[in-house]
Amino acid sequence: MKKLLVLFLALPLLLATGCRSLDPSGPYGGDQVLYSADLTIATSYDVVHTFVIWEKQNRDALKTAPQIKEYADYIRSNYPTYHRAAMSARMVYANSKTKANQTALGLTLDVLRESVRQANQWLAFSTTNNPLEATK
Amino acid sequence: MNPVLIIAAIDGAIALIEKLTPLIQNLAQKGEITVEQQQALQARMEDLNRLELFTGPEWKVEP
Repeated sequence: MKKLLVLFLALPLLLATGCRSLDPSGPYGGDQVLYSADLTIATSYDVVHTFVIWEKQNRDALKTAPQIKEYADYIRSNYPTYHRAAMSARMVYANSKTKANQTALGLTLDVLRESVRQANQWLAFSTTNNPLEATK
Repeated sequence: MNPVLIIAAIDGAIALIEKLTPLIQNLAQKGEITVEQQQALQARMEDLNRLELFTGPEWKVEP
């Protein structure tokens, strides 16, 4: 189960930076950076949103692992800011495709990826009873 | 291993599969990313720009 979850959650974000080209007549005009950024923002939100719903729905069952609620609450408090920062950097890059703006966008996306990585870690952790296996 | 935790984990995995399957199917396709696929992602981004995105009960920090 743990390996399945790790693979499953890692796959979309790995593929998001894949090598498929864009039809240049589409709304992204062939801009792989912007398309990939949007895919990362959307996928990260889906994973994190699923995580907080899952934690809320299974809170009683997860009482033996209080770190999961702790991280879910951390996400609840901080992810909206991370998301808005990425959306904002995305807009800035879309309006002015400079290297600096691309780098700034990349940094905000890294924060989203880290949130997903940790949400994945705690989802996987729920299949074990070893509190040392997953660390925040 | 705690069976209640296993059920909770399976529940989480199923929720993720349901949410991410369309995306994975999309990514698994070969060839160019079509205009329609790009439009779908753009529409999704507009949806993710809504102010009420984080106002659901699942986003409330509870004691």
